[in-house]
Amino acid sequence: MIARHKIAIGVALGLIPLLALLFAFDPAQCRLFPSCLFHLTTGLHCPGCGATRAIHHLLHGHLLEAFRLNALATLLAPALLGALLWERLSRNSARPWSLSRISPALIWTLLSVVLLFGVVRNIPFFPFTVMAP
Amino acid sequence: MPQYKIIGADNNVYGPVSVEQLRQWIAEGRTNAQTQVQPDGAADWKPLSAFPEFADAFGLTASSPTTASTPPAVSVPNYLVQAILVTICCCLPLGIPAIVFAAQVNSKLLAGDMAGAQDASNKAKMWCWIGFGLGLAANLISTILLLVIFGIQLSELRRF
Repeated sequence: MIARHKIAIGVALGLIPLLALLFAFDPAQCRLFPSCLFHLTTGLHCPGCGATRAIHHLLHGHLLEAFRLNALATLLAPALLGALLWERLSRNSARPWSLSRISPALIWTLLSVVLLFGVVRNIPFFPFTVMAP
Repeated sequence: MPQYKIIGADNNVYGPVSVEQLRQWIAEGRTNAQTQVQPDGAADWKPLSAFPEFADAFGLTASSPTTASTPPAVSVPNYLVQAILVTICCCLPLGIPAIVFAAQVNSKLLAGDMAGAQDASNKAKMWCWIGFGLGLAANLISTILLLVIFGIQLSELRRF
């Protein structure tokens, strides 16, 4: 059985070339990255639409541009990364923290926010159009 | 993942089993604090009470108010990060059940229902993998189709 940390290292190593590609090429300018299938088939913006472009701009430090393309992904990406790191670092401490221990209400709120964001950014007039990628 | 062997009440050796399985046995009362346990790779057998990683599982069955109120040190993964990534990055309809089961892991842990939490955890993991697999396959196929239809525009790549 492969140890968990070896899987984590493998995933991290696999992400580096992907992030390097995403850093080098703007998904808005080239067809190297897959477009959102939800958008292709329905014409609507899903909660994740614009996230690839947003991460491209995040990697370049263009916070505002990333926020404009996908505010949700721009806010969630550092939060999720932070949560994963915190979970790992506190594992051997006296009081380990885990995402399994956060309030269920917080997860329900998160799910509602994701779904609401997906609905709101499709409303075709100001100020909701600001949230469309 | 550590594996454990145990000696049952009938003096037979059971296992090796995972931490989760052993915790379930504790919750079901199939093992107790005196049950002899041998971790994978260890030479000697020790009573289950000597393993701090299972101390909290006894708190749940012993129903003593002091131990039951402290949250268990070892947690059941809820795969929340993976569930959100699947929802946003690949497959919205399959990511939603993954997030729902992630929330259930937390509520059941809060209620002290270890077996229920483990069950929800397994389901959250399953939905994450289904969403990831289908999302990956669908995106690969659509990317290849788009590349074939439009042709790989090398000029686009050279622009940078």
